[in-house]
Amino acid sequence: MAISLLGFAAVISLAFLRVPIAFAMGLVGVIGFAWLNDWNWTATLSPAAGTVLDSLQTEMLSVIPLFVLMGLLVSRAGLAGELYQASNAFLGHRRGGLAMATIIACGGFSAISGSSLATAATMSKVAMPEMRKYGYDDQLATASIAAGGTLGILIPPSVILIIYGVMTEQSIDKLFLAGILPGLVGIALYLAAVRFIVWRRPDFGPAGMSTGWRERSTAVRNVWPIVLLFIAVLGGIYWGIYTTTEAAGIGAAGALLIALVRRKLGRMALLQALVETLQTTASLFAVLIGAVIFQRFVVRAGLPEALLGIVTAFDVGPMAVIVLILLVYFLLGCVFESLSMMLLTVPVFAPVIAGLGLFSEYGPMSEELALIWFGIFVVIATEISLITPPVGLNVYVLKGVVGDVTTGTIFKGITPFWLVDIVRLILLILVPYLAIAIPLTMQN
Amino acid sequence: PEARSEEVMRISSWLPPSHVNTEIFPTWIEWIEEATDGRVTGKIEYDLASPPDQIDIVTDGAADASWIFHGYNPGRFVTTKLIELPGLLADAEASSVAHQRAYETYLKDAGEHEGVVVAAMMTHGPGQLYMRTARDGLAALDGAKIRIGGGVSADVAEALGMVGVQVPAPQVYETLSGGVADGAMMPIDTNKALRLYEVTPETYIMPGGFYRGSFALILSEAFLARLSDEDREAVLSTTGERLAAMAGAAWARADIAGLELVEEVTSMHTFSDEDQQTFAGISAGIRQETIDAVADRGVDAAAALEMIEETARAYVQ
Amino acid sequence: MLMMILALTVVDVFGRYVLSAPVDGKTELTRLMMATMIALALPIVSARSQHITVDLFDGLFSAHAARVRDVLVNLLCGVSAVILAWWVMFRAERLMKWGYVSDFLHLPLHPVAYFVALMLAITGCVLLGKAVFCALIPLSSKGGDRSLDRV
Ligand code: NA
Ligand code: NA
Repeated sequence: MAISLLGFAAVISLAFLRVPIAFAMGLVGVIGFAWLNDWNWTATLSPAAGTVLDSLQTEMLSVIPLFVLMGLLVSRAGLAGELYQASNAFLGHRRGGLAMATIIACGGFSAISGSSLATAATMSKVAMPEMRKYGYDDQLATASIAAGGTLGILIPPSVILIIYGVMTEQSIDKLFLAGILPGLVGIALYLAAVRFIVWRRPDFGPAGMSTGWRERSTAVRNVWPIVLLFIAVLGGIYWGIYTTTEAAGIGAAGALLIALVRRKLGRMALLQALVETLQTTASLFAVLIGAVIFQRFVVRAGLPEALLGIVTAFDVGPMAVIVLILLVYFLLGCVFESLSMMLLTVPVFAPVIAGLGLFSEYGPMSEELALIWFGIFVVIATEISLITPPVGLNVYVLKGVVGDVTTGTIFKGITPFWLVDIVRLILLILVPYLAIAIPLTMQN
Repeated sequence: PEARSEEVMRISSWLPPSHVNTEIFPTWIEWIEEATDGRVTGKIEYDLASPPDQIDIVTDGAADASWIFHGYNPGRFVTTKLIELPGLLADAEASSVAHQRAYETYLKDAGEHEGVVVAAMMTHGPGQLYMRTARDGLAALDGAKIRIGGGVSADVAEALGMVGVQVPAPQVYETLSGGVADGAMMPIDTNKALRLYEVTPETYIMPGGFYRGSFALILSEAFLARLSDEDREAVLSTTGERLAAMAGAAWARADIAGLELVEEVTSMHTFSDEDQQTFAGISAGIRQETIDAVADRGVDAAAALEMIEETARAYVQ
Repeated sequence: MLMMILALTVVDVFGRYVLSAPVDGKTELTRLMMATMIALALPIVSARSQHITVDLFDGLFSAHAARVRDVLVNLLCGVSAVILAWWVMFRAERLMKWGYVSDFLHLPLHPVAYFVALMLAITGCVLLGKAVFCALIPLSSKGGDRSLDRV
């Protein structure tokens, strides 16, 4: 156990020295494994090389580039702007309405994009100019985009949930379905946060122009491709028409079709989207491979067993364990971004969660349900890390796109959203059915 | 903390503790402790490598022992397909012993396990067919989408005109529940282990099975070299036919539990005599192809197969 | 190649439902193509510093310290990638020696493994080249190569 803790410390130190996370985890994993095996380098490096070849060929991971491509194509097709206009048509005339429209549009865009950063980046291009035009305060405007963007990894499809599913051997389909309700709760709570902000500071979000019904129906009609795409992907999974891989393929093909039909995609733009997809995927896989190598070291060092032993020995009860895990995520969340944080912790925590005896009323399914629930828990916890200072990546992305706001302003504005995220996490702990209700209906 | 003098055999497993290996490995560890007066003991480690990489980590000495499914390394293992042929009327224990004897006498010479020490060969029970909806006999299976593993089961599905659906074991349940596949061909214990019975209410039995899976329990050469001569002898004394029989018996017990379950909660169908005849005809072709492929590796395939069938028959009686 | 995977998936689903004849071995084709594509992208990602990194403490490094740090980090990563490439080649040789093939189409598995080894070796060289580059260029033009991940 001491050795694995030393390993974690080494990974974090290397990461602070700007060693890419993939290399930090891989290096520490290799050196640690060799240490535990009398410095037998064949026994250490040959399996590591095997891990590289193996991860690159994992079938379930082939959905990642497809979902990444789908998100890129949809944003190229200009659908984000139309989503925003549609939600704006209904909410814009209210106080804080544009910010609320931003949240709704982020939710909608999340339903076709697998990444939080992509969601935040895309929506900031669309929503920020609009909110500035109507005199919204920068704090509210930027915070609503940064927070809304975090929905990208919870509302399916989600790259993070795919990787969680592969690591814990859980069904990606069920994880996707499990994300829907907590995602909707997230939207509702964010809307409440906006209402709260404009109630306290009415000058932050003045009412915009009211829209006639004719324009509203046009705006709604413009969004139907997104609705269709979402239903094609998620419905296909829910009703079992095709597998997740196929759903991703259909989604990407659909997005391509939409982009082509709208003539928003030239040969060069398509090529660019493909190259960007590949680069994103490659950097994801690099971290994933590093994490698996690190995980093997941690397993050999006996950390998951030791933790489970401690939990059993002290008999603290599931709630205390969950709260402790939550604290670890808060601490890590200050420094790490979502994927690295998840890859570092899940191999250690998942066996503990599986052994807590949650959902025991479901008999043989209880372990599966516990791990699905934990997947959603981890995603919300990592979502929070995206907007937690000092390293909140969504905030940096936003700053990159918008330019003339300070990260301080964004972080200040984000506090109410951060607080409702905590509320959502507590809700998920108290009402675990939020996560497992929809996957349960799929069973029957 | 363990005593310095004690050697720990690190056993790698690629399926969770709930699987049949919970019976096999602890018993084997007990045998080893007994034979070495406690100087050597064992420890199971999970998720050290992917299933196809298990033989590699034992070769490289990253694990001291493991169990492998030969079908996961197509191209390398051919002679192990003999035991997988359909029509062997024997439970997993009898076929495991038969597999072990054939290996010692014939298959070993092909050198397919070079780099590791084979502790025992073993098989699971006869693979049967589980369907979401009832089918009227073998002919009605033409064109059905069936989830298969690898090895002989793929040849069988193809010969029956089925459309093979290739997904890893943890995904079988959803593949079936969603209707991506109409059925699955697997050993009967998976009904319990993977909860297949929930999604496949129709169970179809072909006496002797459609196929059976070939496995090996393997030891690392580096681990054996690490032991004293006395302990090495003692550890090796726990391997061979006795280990094969113990492991096979564990698979057989799992099958019995699985069979009890499907008999209780699914409707059972046994293929008609006519269908059995038809299938025997189809299997004959697969049998010949397999014999030819095994013979290409310099093994007397016909004699090995005869030994398998003879041993299994004698063992059952 | 990504477009090919896309096309293959669509043709497969379509084929399975409309013609009830799926493309045989589609999964293994997808897997092999994926490995090839990602391996191909690795040197590019490394060259452009698109690896996921923590840049929280960038401000704490003086320009001089940042240069030393960048040289060392690139050196460390470059050497690791070259060592890994050597061992992937070791595994590729093993795949070839034993004649490993894919499940349905019986395609040999070692060519892709050799390709991955080659791309890792190139990645290593790129990173070592960056180490040299960081050491040689004048301090003022070096703003630390910032990069954000995209998840
Ligand atoms: Na999403
Ligand atoms: Na953070």
